[in-house]
Amino acid sequence: MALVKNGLVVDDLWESLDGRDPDTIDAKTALLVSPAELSALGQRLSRFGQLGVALAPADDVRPLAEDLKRLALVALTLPKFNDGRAFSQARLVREADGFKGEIRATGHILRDQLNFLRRSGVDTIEVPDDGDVDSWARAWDAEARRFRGYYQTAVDHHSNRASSTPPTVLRRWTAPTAVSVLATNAIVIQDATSYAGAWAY
Amino acid sequence: MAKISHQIMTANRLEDGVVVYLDAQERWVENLSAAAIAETKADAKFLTARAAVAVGERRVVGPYLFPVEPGAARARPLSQREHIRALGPTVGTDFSDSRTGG
Amino acid sequence: MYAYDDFDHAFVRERANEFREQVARRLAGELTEDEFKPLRLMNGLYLQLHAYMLRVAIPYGTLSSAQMRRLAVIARRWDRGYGHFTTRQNIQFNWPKLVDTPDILDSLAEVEMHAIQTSGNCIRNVTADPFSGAAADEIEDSRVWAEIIRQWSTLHPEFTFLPRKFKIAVTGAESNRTAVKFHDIGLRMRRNGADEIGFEVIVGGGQGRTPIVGTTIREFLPKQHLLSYLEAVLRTYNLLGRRDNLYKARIKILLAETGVEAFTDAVEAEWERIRGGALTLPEDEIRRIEAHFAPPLLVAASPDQAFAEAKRAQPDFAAWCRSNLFAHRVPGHAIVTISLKPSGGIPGDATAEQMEAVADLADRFSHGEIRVTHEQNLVLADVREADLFTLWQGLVAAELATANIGLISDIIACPGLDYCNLANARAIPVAQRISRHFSDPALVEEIGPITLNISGCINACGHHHAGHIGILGVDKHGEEFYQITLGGAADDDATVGRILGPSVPYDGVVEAVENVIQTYRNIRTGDERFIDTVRRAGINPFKEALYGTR
Repeated sequence: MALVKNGLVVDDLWESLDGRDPDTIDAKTALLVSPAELSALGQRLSRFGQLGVALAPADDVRPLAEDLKRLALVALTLPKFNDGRAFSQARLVREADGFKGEIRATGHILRDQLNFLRRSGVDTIEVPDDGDVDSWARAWDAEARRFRGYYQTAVDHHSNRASSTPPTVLRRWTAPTAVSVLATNAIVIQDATSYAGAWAY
Repeated sequence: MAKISHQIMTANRLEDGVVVYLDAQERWVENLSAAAIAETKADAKFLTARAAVAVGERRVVGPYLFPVEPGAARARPLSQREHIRALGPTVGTDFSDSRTGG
Repeated sequence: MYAYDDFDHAFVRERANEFREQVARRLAGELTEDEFKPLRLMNGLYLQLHAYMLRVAIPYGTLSSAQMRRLAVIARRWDRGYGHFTTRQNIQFNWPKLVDTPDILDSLAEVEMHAIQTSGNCIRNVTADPFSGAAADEIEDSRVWAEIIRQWSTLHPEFTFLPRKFKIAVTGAESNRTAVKFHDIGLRMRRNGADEIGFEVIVGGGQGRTPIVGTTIREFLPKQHLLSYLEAVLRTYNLLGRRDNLYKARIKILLAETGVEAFTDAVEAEWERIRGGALTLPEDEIRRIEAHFAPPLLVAASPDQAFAEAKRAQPDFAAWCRSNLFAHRVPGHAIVTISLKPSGGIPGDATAEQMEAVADLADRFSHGEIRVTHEQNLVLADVREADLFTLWQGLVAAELATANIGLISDIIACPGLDYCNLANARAIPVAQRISRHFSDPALVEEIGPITLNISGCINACGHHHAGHIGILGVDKHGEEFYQITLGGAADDDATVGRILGPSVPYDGVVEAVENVIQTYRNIRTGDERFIDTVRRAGINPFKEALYGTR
């Protein structure tokens, strides 16, 4: 299936274990397993350079804390668009110590949810079966630009946390000058400095 | 007792939400007394199919059939809900619509 | 009150633009109704019995006079000249056209209003004490905290697709005027032993088909940790709340099924992980919001002679003063409640002309600010005693001077089958009949303090469970019947009412209520309030009087 990762169309190179014996699979394969397979196979999976886990909506993220340090992908599912557990799962994964991988959302996703997913830490979506990949890629960017700032901190800024922007609580523009707490960082703003200038208050 | 087979197709108009009924000329009208009454399963099926087309054409939303007691002059909805839906709120102010259905 | 800055203005405009695009996609056929429905609901747009209905947020029930005038303009231009104030301190318009709603939202945005999160499975409009800032028994202005929560919860990325809707109420006073124990989270300001101010956190209250009084899961939460603690509760609920059954999806069911202890442990564990982090509220941030709610400058005054004289000369004015005025923290001032419950009227409805009259009176006598109560009335919070008589005359002219706050004709009612798609029976006409029956002011005053709440279905939007007398409409083979409960209360002794007996037909409701009131008058001792009589004597005397001793 097609993927949109950070707004770009990419191929899905990941393979599920699908009951195969991992020892028979090329170690260069990007391998996606379930939490049960992960815990059952343990060391036998360590030779894979790229290992990911696919969580069901009811799976608890927190017992995976140690595993997350070596995982390159966590795939989450929305069985229906309004089943929002994936948003909290994404948040917990993104905040887990040492996780630097991809968080992928699959299942029933509405384009109007892309902003919420992105801000919860999701960076990749699996385009629904009937979806036009390019329009989803455009939607990813368009939705990310829709609001110039948000009221609350989120975890969407992980990918460009280059600056030493202090964490803020309640809101606001991207500007580090904003001392207010109810604020946060709208990412995707091309140039935070000039933008901040335009909206300083 | 009315036969349950007497039914009228209703929906809300997409653009403004107004309650409408399907008439015999396949028009969506605001007046309940102008609505087509399905007396057979085939009639009901026909109205359902026409309603589905109207949904696809984005003219109405949420179509459904409801039972009526056919009267000499006009059909009477069996449920209080459809009665109120046809006549407007019963709260006795001048807020309700002046449509004269039911 | 809170005033938008550039950020807030831009944000609300951007949200209105998003909705305009969504409506356009719907009209162009890019979205089916199934796809559009969750999107329109996220902006408070329902499709009801007769038409679309737009629910506009009135954050913690506070309005400026300019905002009230704009609601009047909207009522006139895009609706049918009136609006309906709700039990969640919001306002609903019953007849907007879908194609007009983007323009309505633009118009609202101009006066710092919106319809964000007035529906959907998200954190809804946070409610607060309508007497905030003015009440004599207040610890702190609850609206400061409601505003902080409003900002934090607005388009929260993680909590917009919860198992079910989520309602938060805050109270900062000794008296509980916000029904905190009937909310998903009720926050009650408290002083601890060290004289610090914080929150008691009450979780899992609610009405609906499973009425439950909330449970305190934390006695004292320091203020700066409010948001991290809320986040811990919401995350726990979002991950563990039931999603298999719409009727079991509220947090109250999770709490009941998990057990208070296990639930609290889960919340506290998550809080431990995040406390002290990015959500800790710095003192200057709290002060920034607080500054918006600085009380108006009021000069204490000794009792006004002319006021006392007017009460003597005008019995109607005196009666209105007895029922509609409440103690203000500044001597020589009063909190005025404006009743939206005239005899035979629709509870909570106000015409555009009435909205404008209230806006004018607020400008003249109460610093241009208006509050909405969860009982569906309006409040002018800071009125000088010396102005009360002129204010009252203005209210009389606008037909807004009904003297019945907290009395039997001050009825809470949901829209019911006259407007609502979910209702089983009518609620408004029942309220109208009861208020007409109890229209003699002397009699109503003699009956004394009582709450009478009516819901048109089990979803309990009319708060029937929490009424001293509760009336629930049910459908019996196509006919409207009404179940009567007694002893419910929304205050500190929050209680769910008990069912009196078999339901009565539409035409029997007034008679049944009259019977209950007669029984109360027969068995009360001294000046005992109705609820105290029910608590003392139980429901049996009422049952026997209404149904006989079979």
